Amino acid sequence: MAQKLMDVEQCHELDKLIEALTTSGRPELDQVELKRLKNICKQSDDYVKKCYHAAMIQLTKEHSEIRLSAVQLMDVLFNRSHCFRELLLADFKDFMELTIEINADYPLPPPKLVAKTLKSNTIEFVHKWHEKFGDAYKKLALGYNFLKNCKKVNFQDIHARSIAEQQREEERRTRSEAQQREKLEKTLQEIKDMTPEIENALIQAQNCLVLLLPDPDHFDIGGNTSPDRQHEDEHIPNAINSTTECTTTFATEGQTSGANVKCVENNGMNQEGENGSHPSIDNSAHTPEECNSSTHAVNNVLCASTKMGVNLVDSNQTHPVCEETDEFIEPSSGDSEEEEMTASEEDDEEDDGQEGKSDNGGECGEVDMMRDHGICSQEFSLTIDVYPEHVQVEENPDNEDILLNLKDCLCLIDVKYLPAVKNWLEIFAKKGGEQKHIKGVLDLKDSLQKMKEKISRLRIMKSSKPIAEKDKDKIKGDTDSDSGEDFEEVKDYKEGYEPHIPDHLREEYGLTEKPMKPSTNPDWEMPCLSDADDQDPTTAMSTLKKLKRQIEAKNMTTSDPIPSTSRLSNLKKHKLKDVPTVPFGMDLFHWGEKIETPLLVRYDCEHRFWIPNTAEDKVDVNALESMKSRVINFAGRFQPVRWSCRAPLPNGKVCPRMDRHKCPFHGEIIPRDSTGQPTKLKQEVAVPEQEHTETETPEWDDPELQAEIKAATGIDLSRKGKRSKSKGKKKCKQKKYPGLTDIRNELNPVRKRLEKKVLNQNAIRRVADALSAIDEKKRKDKFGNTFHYVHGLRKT
Amino acid sequence: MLRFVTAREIGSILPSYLVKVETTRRIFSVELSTHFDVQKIHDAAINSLDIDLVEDRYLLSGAGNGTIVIHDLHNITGLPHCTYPEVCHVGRGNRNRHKYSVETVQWYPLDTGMFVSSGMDKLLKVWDTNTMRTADEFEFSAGIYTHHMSSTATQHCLVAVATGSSKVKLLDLKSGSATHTLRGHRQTVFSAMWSTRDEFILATGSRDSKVMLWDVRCAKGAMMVLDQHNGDTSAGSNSVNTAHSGHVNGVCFTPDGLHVVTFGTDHTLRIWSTATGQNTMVNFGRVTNESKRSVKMTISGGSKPQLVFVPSVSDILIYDLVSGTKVSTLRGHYNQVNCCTFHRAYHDLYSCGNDRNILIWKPLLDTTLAYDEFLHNGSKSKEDRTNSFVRRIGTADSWSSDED
Repeated sequence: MAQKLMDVEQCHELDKLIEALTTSGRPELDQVELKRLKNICKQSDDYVKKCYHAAMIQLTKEHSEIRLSAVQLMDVLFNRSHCFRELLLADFKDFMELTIEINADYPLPPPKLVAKTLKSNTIEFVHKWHEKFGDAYKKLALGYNFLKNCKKVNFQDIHARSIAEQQREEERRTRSEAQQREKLEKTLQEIKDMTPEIENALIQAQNCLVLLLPDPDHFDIGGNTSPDRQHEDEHIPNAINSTTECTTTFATEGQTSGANVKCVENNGMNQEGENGSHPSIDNSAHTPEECNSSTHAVNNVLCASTKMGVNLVDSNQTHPVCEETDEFIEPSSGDSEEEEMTASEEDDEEDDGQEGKSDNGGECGEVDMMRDHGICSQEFSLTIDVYPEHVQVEENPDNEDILLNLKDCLCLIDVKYLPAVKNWLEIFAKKGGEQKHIKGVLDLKDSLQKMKEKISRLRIMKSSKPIAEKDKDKIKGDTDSDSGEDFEEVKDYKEGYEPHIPDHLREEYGLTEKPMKPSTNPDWEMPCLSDADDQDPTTAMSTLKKLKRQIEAKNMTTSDPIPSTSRLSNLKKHKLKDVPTVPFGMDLFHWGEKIETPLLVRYDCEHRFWIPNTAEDKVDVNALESMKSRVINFAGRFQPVRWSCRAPLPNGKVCPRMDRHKCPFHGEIIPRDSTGQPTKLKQEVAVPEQEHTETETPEWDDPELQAEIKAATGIDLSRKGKRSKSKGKKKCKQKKYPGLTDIRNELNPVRKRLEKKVLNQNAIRRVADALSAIDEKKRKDKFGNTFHYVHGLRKT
Repeated sequence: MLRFVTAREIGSILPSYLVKVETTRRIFSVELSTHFDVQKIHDAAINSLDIDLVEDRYLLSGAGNGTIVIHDLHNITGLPHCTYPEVCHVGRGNRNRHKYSVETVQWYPLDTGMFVSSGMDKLLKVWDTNTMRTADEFEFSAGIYTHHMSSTATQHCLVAVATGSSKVKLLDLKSGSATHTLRGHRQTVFSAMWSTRDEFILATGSRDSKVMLWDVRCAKGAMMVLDQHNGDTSAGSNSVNTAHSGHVNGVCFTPDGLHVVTFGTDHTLRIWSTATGQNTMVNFGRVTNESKRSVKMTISGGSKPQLVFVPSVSDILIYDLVSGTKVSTLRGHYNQVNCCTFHRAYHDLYSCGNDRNILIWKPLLDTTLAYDEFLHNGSKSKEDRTNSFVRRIGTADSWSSDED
């Protein structure tokens, strides 16, 4: 009986279940309810039929969420009941129209996102159904083929569906591929163009470096360089005599001498094995006189050559030593960190004339004498500490061009070539260039970086100022410097004051005593440290002066006007820095003064008989106030917004808007997790607030008091009535199906709502008024005083 | 049925009566055939079908992309399932094919060696079936919606051509020239059909909502203009002499030629008496008609009452011509149905539409029963057994037992 006749209660339950299932608004069906439904349907095909019709009715509802749920329900029944399949396939076209949008006249209802899921889900279902039942049900096969052939549904790739979309994607891909290819080609062309340029720059830089700092590899150790050397020897006297030494000259000479460090002690006749390796040394036979004359040469050399510390240790000799230290260190070679050499005899001067010992020619003579006698002089040891990490090159006019060139090269490498090369590598990495190209570029990059490092390790020391200035003048051109130097500077002295009075005129001036001048034998005279000396950077004098200046400068900074109090004041001063300052204003102008209240200025009245009352002068209180006070607008400290809305967007991202309190699209900003889901449930957030409002009743809301007031005045001030009213209204507005998305909201999107407000006629008028008011004000500011203009305008 | 057979045997009823009864029974039970199919060749909307009258064997179909296909409907194997193979076709590579959509195809009524097709490229082509080349071509001033050759004609060989212009032209295939021009319509003529009773009577339906009956021997003009109100002028002057309130895009004579059925875009179906030109006032109710081209209805012969098969959007509606009641709805197409044609011998219905399918509708009774019987005992082959397995699995209910 139960099979034949349907139970009314079960029918009701079926209806209820279907309605509940389809209007839940959730993306999946509720399993408990579904089970219940299946149980009912299992009993009889009549229930299945009823179920089918109910589901079909739900499917026609204009809400995609309902449709989605209905389709899911249908899928469940379709897989189980033959009767249901027959029924559905009879109306399969309608079903597809309602779910897959095969008829353009009937688009799927909102919400859009759910409609999209509905479509893809249904297509998936149809695909599965076809696989399972396609052979048994012809109409299903027909429908499937229809979708496949006529509607071009790609069942393999359901999510990227329509043909237009696929075409667009294809186009986009081909376009981007073409772009990449083009870019790659362009890059290759660029590389082709730029490689020689880069190589050129590298060679140039390398050559500059070689010129500045010869490589030990380039040293010629054999004696075959004698012609060269002789040629260079010709230069030597000049080099020694001139105070401005050319580093490069030295360097090249060092090259010929061919050793890193030499401590020389050559007696001329006996060349020991060690010396044998430096045959060149002998060639440069300098006389001691020459040596003597080049007092400064040594210092100069010490600075000019790339050597840091020269530590001379006289082993047992008190008399000065003629030492020769010409060394060259290739920056990267760290092998010659410290070399100690002892020389048995000292007498010969180094080829380059880089030997010190100037002041006492007598001693020199002694050495000579000893040499004459064939006696080896006392042994002395020479220690040279070389710190290769500080490779210094002093700039001077001779190497200036090279340095300039080097700097240019470095600049080019740094600014142009390296970034370009890196860019190429990036492009290759992205677009997949060929191996050989990548390798070439990598090599290029490597060499560029090496060169850059090499150059950066080189420390270029500016030559001291006077020289530099002189050089500059020279570079600038003779015309300028000549004209500048032609005019002697005449100091502004007081009238009658003569800084220098010649001896023979002293008496005329009434000066009896001559300032004492120690008359000394020129032989014994110490080399005086004249003014000229501190012009020379190589002299000790100049160094001393420099030091002094530095110390003075230091003192100047530290001994600024310090109040004589203790460190407490220091602290105070420190604190004072943090004290805010205000700009000068009227209030400060009148600070501490007793201000008379200003009187209002009255204009003379030219009326014949009506005269204002002048007797009582009015006092402008406001003016007084404005003189004494200062208005500071405090708008609060600006605090940058560090959070974003992060509500989930339909495209899968989160809302990036950074608002302080409320996002115009997603409402109040609440904490959310990485996917944009709120971490706290809304109710949890909202409930305490509500409690707060409910528990907190204002004092005047005391019922007794209210009653009294009511009795006295007849006005009911209690809020109860109002509250209940508002609650009732809310209930009325509550939706029938709370699970579903409100379509009306979808139809009235944020944009429209905003438009309604922003493009409201009143709002527009208000804005227009404000704008015209601003314009008016501007006009008044500009032309308000122009009587003519104002009245002219007003007329118009 | 057996009762009728016995009755016929003992002579209590005429043999033709048995035929009629059985035919009627079969036609009323027509359903979508699950086991018979035609080989899929078309990849465009199919506009027209025709079954030859000589052997009742070849199905001619013309599609929207200009292709024409001939299928063999003869089931040689005798099995209750079959896919009718294609015999030959005018493909897209054929030099002679129609450039645009083929609107109508029709066999030469007396021989399958020739057929005529017409389309929107304004050409009417006469084809030689054996070579699949055109024997003759006629060009018109506008696209051809339909053409028709009389199946009963013995004295003439005229093709009535309904084109986008208001004139209906008659082509004489013998002389290869247009012999007549029938003037009378004001607008596009959608449909034309020769009477099945009188070889000189032609019915045409037009966009100007008129249906005219012509006697082609009479040069004066239309023999009669059908009036939906039967001369009652109270309905208003602009509906005088109109058969429908919308365009008329379907005209069809009953097999006995006594009545003509017209179909209009006012969603009505009307049946007229050809003798008097009177509207028989049979009410078919609303029959949705959204087609913008000629709709080819068909009327079953040999059944009583006669049934008309009307393509209506994606369904085929079957109406009783006498009472106007709807017998059933055939649903199976997923898009507009353009044409349906009835197979006299098998009592099959063939339909085609914009969903690129040719569907076969067969009397339900014999096929399914035969198929089941065949599956149960007849077939020995492995394939068929798996088929039966699939079928049984496919149609079985599958409620899981754990749901309690």
